[in-house]
Amino acid sequence: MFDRLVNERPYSLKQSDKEAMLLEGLNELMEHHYRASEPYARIVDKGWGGLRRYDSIADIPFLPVSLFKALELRSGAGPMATLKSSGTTGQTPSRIFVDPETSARQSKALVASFRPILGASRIPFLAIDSQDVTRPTDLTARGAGVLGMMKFGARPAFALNSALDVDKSVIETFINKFSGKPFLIFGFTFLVWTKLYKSYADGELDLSNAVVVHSGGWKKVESERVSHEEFNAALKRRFNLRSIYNFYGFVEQMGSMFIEGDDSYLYAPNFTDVIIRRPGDWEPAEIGEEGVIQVVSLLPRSYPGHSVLTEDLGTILSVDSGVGGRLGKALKISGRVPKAELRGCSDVIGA
Amino acid sequence: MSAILIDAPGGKKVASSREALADRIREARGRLALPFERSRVDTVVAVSELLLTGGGRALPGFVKHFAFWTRKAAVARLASEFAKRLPGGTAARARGVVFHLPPQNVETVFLYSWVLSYLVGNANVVRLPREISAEMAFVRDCFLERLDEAGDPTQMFLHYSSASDLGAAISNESDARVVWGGDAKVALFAGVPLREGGKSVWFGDRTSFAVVNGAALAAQSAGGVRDLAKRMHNDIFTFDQMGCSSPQILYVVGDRAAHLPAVRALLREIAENVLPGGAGVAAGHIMRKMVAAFEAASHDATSTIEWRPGALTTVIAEGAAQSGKRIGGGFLDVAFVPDLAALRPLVRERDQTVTHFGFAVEEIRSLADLLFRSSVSRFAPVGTALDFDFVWDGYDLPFELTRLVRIG
Repeated sequence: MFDRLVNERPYSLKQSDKEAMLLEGLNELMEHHYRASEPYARIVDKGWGGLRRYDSIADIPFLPVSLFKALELRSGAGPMATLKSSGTTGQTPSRIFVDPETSARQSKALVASFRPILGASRIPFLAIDSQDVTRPTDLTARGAGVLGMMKFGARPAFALNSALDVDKSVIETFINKFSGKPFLIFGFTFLVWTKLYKSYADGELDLSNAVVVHSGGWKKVESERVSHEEFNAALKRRFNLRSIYNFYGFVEQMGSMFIEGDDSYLYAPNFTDVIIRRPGDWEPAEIGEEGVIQVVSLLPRSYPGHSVLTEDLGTILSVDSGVGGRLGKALKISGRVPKAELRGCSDVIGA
Repeated sequence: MSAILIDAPGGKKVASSREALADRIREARGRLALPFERSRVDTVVAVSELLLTGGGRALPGFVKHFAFWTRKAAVARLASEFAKRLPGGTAARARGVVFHLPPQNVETVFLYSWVLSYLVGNANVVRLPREISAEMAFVRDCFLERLDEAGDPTQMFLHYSSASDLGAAISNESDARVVWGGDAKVALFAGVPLREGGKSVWFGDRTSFAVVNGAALAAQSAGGVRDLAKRMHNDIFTFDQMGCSSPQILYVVGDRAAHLPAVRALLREIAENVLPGGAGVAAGHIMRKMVAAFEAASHDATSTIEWRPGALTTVIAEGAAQSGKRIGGGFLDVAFVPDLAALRPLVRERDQTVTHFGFAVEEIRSLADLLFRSSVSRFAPVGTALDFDFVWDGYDLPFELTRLVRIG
C-alpha cells in the first residue's frame, strides 16, 4: 500500500480516498509491528486493550514520540542502521532502527516529496552545514537530511567548516560556477538564518536561481524574534531569492515530510496523515482547533513508528483545499508543547 | 556587594547591609521569649482568626489549613503537650537565633517552620525565594504588621541572591538552622558552621506511599468511594505530587482478582470526577507521564496502564514491583500485596509517610513495629498526607528548637 500511495502524484488524493487506503495499510502495519516487536505488543496490550482491526485512522494506537528516547524499539531481528535525533547535550536521543527496506522507503518518499519542487534531474547542491554531519557513525536527522538531499543534488558543497563557521570561499566558488541555472540550498532553519543570512549584506550575493529547502523548527529563530514571514521576507530581500520551502519532519518518522505549499501551510504526503489531538483526553480536535500533532505513516516497517504523537502543537487549517493543486490536510505548526516544570520539595539554593 | 532585602509591613522590602543585618541578629538574640509566651501565642492566634474569617480574600486550601493548624485550641494543645513532654525538673528555653532555609517550591513550609520556632521563643531569620505567591505574602505580611506594632524586630524574612555567601554569614550568627529542600541542598550546608557548634535540622529527599485495604475498599458504597477518592486526590495532587509526603505508590492489601475492579473504580473516580475543571497538570507533563507509563507497559512486570484522560496516569504492576520512577503531577504505581507484612521488603530507603485506609488502629501499629528499621516516620490516614505535623521526619520540632535547663 505504501508503494501504491507514494507512486501517486503528491497531494493528488482526496482525503476520503486516501484515508481508505491508509487505513488498510495501517491495519497491516499494526499487525506487522505487533508480531515483530514484543515490547510494542505489550504496549498495545496493556495501554490499548490489545490488537484488533481498526475502523478508523483515529483509532490506531499511537506512541508518544519521546518513547523512542526511553526504549529501543525494533520490528525485526536483521541488521539495522541506527538513526539518532539531534538531542540536546545531556539528554538521551531518540534511536530509530532502519533496515534496508525501510531505508529504501525513506529514499523513495524523499524523491516523491521533492520532485515537484526540485525537478527530475540532479542539480547543484549547496548544503548549509559541515561535511562532518554526514559521517555514518552517529548519524542524526540533520545528517540524514543532507544525505537524502544528495539524491537531488549533484556535487554537494558544504558551506560550513567543522566549527560550523561560514566558509565564504566555498560559497563564492559554488555560486560562480553554478548560479546560471537552478540549484539547491538545503540546511537546518537555524543554520540558514545564523550562518548564511547573517554572513552577508543585502545584495551581496545573488541566489535568484536557488531553491532553498530548510527544516528543523522555528523555535531558535523565533527566539531571535523573527517570525516565519519575516524569515522568508528577509532571505528574499537579501539574496534575491524566489523559492523558499520549509518542511516539517522528525527523525522518529524519517521520510514523512510535510512540505510548505503555496499558501505557506504544510501538506501531508500521500502515505501519511495528520491528526490533531486535544491534550489531556487525547480526543481528535476540530478543524481549525489547535492541539498536539499526531502523524501516521505507512513508511516505517523496521520500527513501530507508524503512528506517533509528537510534542508539537499545530492546527489543521483545511482539507482538500485545492490551493496550488494540493488535496489532503493542510497543517500549520504553532510550536512545541511547552516543557512543564513541577513544584516540589527539592531545590538547590546556594549557600 | 550583594543586596539583602528584608520584608517589612505593607508589602515593602527594605535593603540592608551585612553589618546592619548582623547587628540586628545579635540584638535579636538578646530579646528571646519563653516558649509559648502569651504575647507570641496571641499574635499567632490573632492571625489565624483573621485567615479563618477570610481576611477579605479567597484563600487557597493550604492557607486555610495553616490557619486551622494555628487556631487557638490547636496552639493551646501544642503548648500543653510540649509542657507534658518536658522531663521532670527541667525548664525549656529558646535556642536563640534560628536560620530557616525552606524549600523553593512548597511554599507553606516556611510558615510552619517559622511559626513553630517563633512560638517556642526563638529569633528567626527566614530566607525566602525572590518571589512568593500573593497568598503566602499576605499571610507573612499579617504577621509582620503585628510584629511591627509590638515593636518586635526579632523575626526577619529576607531575600538574597544564591550567588552570595550570605548563607554562611548568617549561619555564623545562628544558634540553629533548619534546612529543607532535599539532599543537594543539605549537602550545600553540611560544611557550613553555625555559631559555637549550633544545632542543625535537615530535611533530605523523601518519598512516600499509600496502602489501602482491598476488601474494605470493595465494600464501600458509592458515596464512600467518592469520599475516599476526594481524599486521595488531595494527597496526590497537592503540590503536584512532589511533596516529600506525597504518595507515589498505592499498595492494595488483598487479592487482585477480587479487588482490582474496585481499585480501578477508585482511580477513575479520582481522575475523572474529582479533578475540578479537568485541567490540572500541563500538557507537557501529561506527555512525560505517558512516556513513563508506556515504557513501563513494555515490560513484563506491568499488568496494565491507564493514561487517558491524562490527569491521573497509573501503572498497575503484575506483582509488587513498581516502575520506580518519580514522575509527579498525577503518576501512580499500583501494586497488590497479600498482607501488610509484605510491605517490609518493599519499603524504600527514604520512604517517609505511609497513608492508609481501611485498617484497624492495631494493624497500623503492628505495621509501624514491623517497619521499625525503615526510614518511615509517619503513618497517617489517607487525605492527610500533606498535613503538617510538629513531629516531622522523625524530629520533634519544638524540642529540636529549644534547649533544656535542669533546675535542681
